Amino acid sequence: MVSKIALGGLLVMAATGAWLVAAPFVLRFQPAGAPWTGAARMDVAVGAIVAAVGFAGFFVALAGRVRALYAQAERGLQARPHGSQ
Amino acid sequence: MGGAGSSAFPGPIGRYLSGLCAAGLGLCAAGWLALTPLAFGYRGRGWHDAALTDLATGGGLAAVCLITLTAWAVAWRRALSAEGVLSRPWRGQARSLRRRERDSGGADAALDPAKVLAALRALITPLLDPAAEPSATGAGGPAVAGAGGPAASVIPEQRNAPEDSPAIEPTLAGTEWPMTGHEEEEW
Repeated sequence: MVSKIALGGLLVMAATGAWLVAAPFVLRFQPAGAPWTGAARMDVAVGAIVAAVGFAGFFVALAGRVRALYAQAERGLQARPHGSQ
Repeated sequence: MGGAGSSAFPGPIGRYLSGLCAAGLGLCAAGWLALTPLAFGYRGRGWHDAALTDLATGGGLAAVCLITLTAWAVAWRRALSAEGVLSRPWRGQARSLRRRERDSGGADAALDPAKVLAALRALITPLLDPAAEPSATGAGGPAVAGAGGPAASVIPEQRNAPEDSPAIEPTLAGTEWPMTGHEEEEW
């Protein structure tokens, strides 16, 4: 349960970053075609960083979990007697 | 993609560290987002969309990152406890142990220190007392360093013959040590 919350938190973090990138255009405080305001530039930059960090953390944690599963399966195969395979 | 032995995948420490670092960076970003309307001055012209968005998103992101940070820390701590690295029980387990001890009325509570000391003394005295081994000072007996002192240490003789250990070896012979998974994985 705790691991699920932790991984879900990283995904929510990535989604928040994506929202920050889209927010200036969704909320129309950055009109299309106009020069970029400071707020829009800041939101897009911070949102991109947050989304990248969130996705990277999520996939690294997932890869660690996959590796642990591989190691667990390998140990189980080694512990099992040869005749019972 | 070589499986368990491959170093391309992060180990358990890397997994928990990456989660903690990502959550910590997210927390920093949330703090920055909350400060941005003040730092760049678009807060002063009233609550327009950008300031409101940054504050609300920053607050939400901070909450999510705090929960994530706590969850990763708890998961790491549980994994370390399951592997036996952390011997001290964590707070919930310690509390339940204390409650169980209290409920049992102290019957199996802490031992009496005087009794423990007496038992230890009874075990150690024959080892330290030279009079307890009357044949020890003979020709074939072990040498006594500083004999006559209150706590003379006995140096055992060198053994040339291999020591027989019939009580231990048959029990170990043919024993297959089970390889059991020790990782606490809960999903």
